[in-house]
Amino acid sequence: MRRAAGAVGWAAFALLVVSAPAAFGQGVNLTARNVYHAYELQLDPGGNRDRIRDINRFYQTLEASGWGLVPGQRVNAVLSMRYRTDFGTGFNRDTPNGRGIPAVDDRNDLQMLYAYVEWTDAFDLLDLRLGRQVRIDDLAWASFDGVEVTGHLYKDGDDYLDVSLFAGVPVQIDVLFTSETFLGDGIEVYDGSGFLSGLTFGGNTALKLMSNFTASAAYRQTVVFRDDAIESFAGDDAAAAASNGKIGLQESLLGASIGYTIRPIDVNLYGHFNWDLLIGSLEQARAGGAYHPMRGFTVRAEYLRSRPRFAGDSIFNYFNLFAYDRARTEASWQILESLTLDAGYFFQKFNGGAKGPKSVDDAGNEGAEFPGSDAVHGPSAAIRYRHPRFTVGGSFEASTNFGGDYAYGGNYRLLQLFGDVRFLGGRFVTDARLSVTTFQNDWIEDIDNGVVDEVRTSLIGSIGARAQILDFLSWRVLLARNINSYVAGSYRVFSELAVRY
Amino acid sequence: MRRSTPLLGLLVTAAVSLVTLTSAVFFERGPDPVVFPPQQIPIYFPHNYHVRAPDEAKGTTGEGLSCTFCHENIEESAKSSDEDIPGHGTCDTCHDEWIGDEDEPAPIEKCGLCHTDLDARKGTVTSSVAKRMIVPKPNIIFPHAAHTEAEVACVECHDRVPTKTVATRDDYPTMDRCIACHEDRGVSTACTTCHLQTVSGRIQTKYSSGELKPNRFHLAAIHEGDFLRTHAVPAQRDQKYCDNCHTKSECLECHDGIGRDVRYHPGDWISTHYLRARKDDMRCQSCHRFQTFCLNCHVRSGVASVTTPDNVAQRRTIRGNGTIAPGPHPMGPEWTGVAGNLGQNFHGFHAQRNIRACVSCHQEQYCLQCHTTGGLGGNPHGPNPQRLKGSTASKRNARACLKCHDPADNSWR
Repeated sequence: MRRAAGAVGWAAFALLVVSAPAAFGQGVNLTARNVYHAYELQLDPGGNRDRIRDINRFYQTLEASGWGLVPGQRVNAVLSMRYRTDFGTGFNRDTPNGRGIPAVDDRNDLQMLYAYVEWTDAFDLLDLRLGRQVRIDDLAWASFDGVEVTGHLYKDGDDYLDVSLFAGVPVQIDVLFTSETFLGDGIEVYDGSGFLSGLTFGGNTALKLMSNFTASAAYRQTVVFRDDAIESFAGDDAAAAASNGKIGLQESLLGASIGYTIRPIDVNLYGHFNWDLLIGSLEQARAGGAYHPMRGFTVRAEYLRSRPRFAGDSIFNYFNLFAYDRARTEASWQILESLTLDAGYFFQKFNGGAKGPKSVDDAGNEGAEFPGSDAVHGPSAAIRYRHPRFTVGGSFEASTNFGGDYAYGGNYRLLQLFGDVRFLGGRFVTDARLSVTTFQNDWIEDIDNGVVDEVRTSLIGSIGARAQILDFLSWRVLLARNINSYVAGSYRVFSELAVRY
Repeated sequence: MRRSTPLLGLLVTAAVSLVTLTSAVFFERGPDPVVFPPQQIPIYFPHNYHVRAPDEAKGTTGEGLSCTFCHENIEESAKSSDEDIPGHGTCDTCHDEWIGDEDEPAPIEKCGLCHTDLDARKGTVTSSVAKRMIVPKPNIIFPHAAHTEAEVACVECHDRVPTKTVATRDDYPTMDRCIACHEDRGVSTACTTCHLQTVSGRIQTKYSSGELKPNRFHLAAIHEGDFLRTHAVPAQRDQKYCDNCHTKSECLECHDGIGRDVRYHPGDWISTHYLRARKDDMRCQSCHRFQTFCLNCHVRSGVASVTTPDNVAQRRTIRGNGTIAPGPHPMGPEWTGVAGNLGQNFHGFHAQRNIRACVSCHQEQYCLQCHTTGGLGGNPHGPNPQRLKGSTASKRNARACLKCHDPADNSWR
């Protein structure tokens, strides 16, 4: 009942958002998507039916935007909602332990992704935004219910200096674009009480000078108000009591980036890092550059260091974890208007402690070292020819080892052939794709005895179609079948009906 | 196992890069075909001859005409769609014998002097009707009148025309030049000064001629190559720039994790995704939340159980091989390093390097069974657990500590 009432309420708000600007003759956007995404997974090809799993996801999204609600001012309102359910076998984060796999998923969620009113360029000085909103800055994104104020302290042509401040209640769990989307939190129980379950605040500053130099920095802190009802404390009243009622620091982050475009030689350079103040360690760092001397030709290179970050109350924060390093370079060249070539290469190194340690048991037997590699690398390439009536192409990529060891995470080689044909001036498109993957897992039994996994081959084919039925109405569908793989005989169906007005 | 040849791969990549870099220097292109769509101009017209002044000393010939002699209305043009391409009426001023009149049209061989498809010198002429000239409307705001008023000379934008024969879309200015001139003259360089906008005030990017994307001027956000993978950098650094064209809902359409785009999930994704997730998990995180998303499928498909290590009854590996113990990784003592007191500890090796792979199946409780204080698993804090004492995390959110440590014991604080 509450959900139904909520849906009616949001629908009414959406109607208001749409009708108000329309009344003033201003702009309106309406986007609605209906997505059905189903799998029938044959977990034991040729085996018993008990090993078939159905996943039947259904999503509906509705976004209504009104632009220019107040004549002469840039006052806008945006609402986005999502409904999702699953008709297949189910398991959710709140499925009780020991229940097994329910025959039917229980999910039936109506979510508000964002709903805000904004006034941009107010007094030629400020942007104001109130409501549920998504921030994007050097700390990726975060969703909260609250207010954000951006001051335009300096503006001259392309150059500017902006400062933003925000505060509100963090949006938690399962809603897209929460900060937690980026947290492998390790635990799903969230015991904040009621709506006011925490507080998030911070800000960022962004500077652009001489049209070519950018610098920015962002800070965000999130605290949560604790209860004692989490599973880890079951049976330990003292620990639960020690946590109950506390204000816990959930995340505390600092990020910054810098970029410079050297126009005379068509080169762009950038760097970026995030620092986790909670643990006192680097979470992420990137540095790279691009060379783009003409339209259709780009060369890029990037280095990345990444260390996992977790919610403040996760024990994983205290584990002995190491960052990995990844470097990638690529070139893309549109030789003709219709012919494009891509090539790339990556190298990745995982860091960590010793692969042992070799220890000795009571009988004097020595333990083994893990024989896998810490490194992985691989090339990639693609070619695509686009004729006004059709497209054909192929791509290849590999992730492999440097020698006799397994590559970290196993080896694979992927070859894809694809094409599409366009009809009615491109309003109707059919496409087909064939993929062949060979792969070897490195996590197999007896790996410590030098056993190597056999090379497995997977083949999958898909056909699809896209139709622009009306200027604002489109539909696409895809059917894929696994022909030879772990899950041979499995099907996947995807369908999307979208209105973009 | 077959050895790979990384050196060969590197050499091939370097060679391809060298060739493409060298070639790029020689193949600069004109303006964006989305803004100025391809044209069909079956006309021969020597701009160079018409514009050039005759010079007996140099022995050159020409007519020395001004641009407005033929493009007579261009100085009053307010819209980019105003073609002002001279027709027969204009050419007739000088070439009446090539055109004739309604009662007595010129012979077809005269038509071929301008209309290339009717030029008998090039082959057999099969029609007496000349091909139409097609000059699609530019998708940009450009009032020639305002530029004339600002005393911008024609050649400041169309500099190559006086030396060419037929002028085409390639002779329109690129954005670099527009921006440079606007900056010099103190004219707004806001995107919507020139680009068409939607009702939301953003740049219109979808046209029948294609999708408008940042050009060379916006080097920091070139939408070419693997921009799908790299767009996070410019998006985080300068969100205002993205806002010029995109609404948040466009982010959502990809990042909501429901579409399973084949560009990110190629091939037999179900069977091979773990190979990629273990190498490049950051990409997974941009749409899927660890561990909700992973655990949801892993449990329902039987890859993982959510209770205890002993509860293997729930676990049905997709590998489906009766000779292999159930589980996505070795399930024997070599993994945990507990049985037989052999410290092989393979799982520790992987947890240190990529714990995200672990949490795609295991919740904290799983680790706590062994790694709680005094448990079999030993100290997971690494070689220097002292570093954690006094950390912001332990001072401001001790809940994680309390999961293992006795609240009455102050030694860990």
